[in-house]
Amino acid sequence: MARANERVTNPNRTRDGDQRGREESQNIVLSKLRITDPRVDPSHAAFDFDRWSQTVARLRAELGVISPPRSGCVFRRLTVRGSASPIRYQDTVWTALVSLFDFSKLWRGAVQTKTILHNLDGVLQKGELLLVLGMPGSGCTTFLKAITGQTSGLDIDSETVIEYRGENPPSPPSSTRQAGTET
Amino acid sequence: MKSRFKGDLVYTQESDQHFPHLTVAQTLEFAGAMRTPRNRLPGLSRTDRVRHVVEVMLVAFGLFHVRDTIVGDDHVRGVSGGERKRVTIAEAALAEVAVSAWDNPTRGLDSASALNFVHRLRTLSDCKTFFLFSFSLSLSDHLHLSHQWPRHASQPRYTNHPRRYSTDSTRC
Repeated sequence: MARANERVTNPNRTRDGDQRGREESQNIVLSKLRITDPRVDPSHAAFDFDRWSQTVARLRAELGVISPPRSGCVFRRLTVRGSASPIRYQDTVWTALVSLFDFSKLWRGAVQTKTILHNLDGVLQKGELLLVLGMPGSGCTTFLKAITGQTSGLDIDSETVIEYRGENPPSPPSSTRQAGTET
Repeated sequence: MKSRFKGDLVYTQESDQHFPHLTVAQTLEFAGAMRTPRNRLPGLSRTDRVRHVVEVMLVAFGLFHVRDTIVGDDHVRGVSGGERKRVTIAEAALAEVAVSAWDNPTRGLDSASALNFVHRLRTLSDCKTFFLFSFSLSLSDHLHLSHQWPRHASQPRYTNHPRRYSTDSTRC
């Protein structure tokens, strides 16, 4: 099953110069690392991704190269709230101008908040594949966003503790910078 | 959290967002170049490393045949929807981060591609921690249910049982 999507077309169909360039670069990389196993060569029909990953991990360990970070995660009392006004108006040029002189924000009452996640506790081990299942609207995306720090528009409770690799950040997260990349 | 763990956490959203006029290979090469570490295997230049890793990811996720096709979006014609999803997946897999969250990554993929993708994540998760949010239960270690299922559905039907599962009820 894992072979089904590998190399579906004949590589010789590509432009010759491009193909030669790629083969040369593959040869450069693999010859520098003194690897001759065709299962690790992506330009070969017998390429095996599992074997490639294992080879990379083994080389990193042997040559003492720093490998990518592995991290567990612990969260306690994870409570996330979202807030939005019940009616949202489309901004126009007029409203944008008028908003400069709009002082009603100063005394606007509390915005409606809704608690999305209630007091979750959990542990994510290093190297673990965790499946988060839930009905639409039950907070799965919110949970993922809270763990990875994409909390613009969300409000994490002050009692919540989220720790990575055992380190506790000293200050509460600010809403301006974002930790991870969003793809 | 944000200032100290920047770059260690990735959230992959459900809808794909790419530069529509870049080819698949260019998209992945850009992503790979952004995430190439300074500590590489000795003797390996940055360019060679990026090209090699991109080639591996193209082959592993079945994108080799479209590597010179532009990605496109709703307005620009490019690769198919399933392939665009796989570009998203490959781009996130290139990142090699500590904790990675995937929001419904197999939406629009056929079951063979979805299973292939889960196999790849399983392999990659030996190097990192993962969340997975999708409906493929077969290879997960743990299962976290974020909604209290009604009693008749409390026995989910899957073949390879996750070793442990936790339930948590959230009131919507």
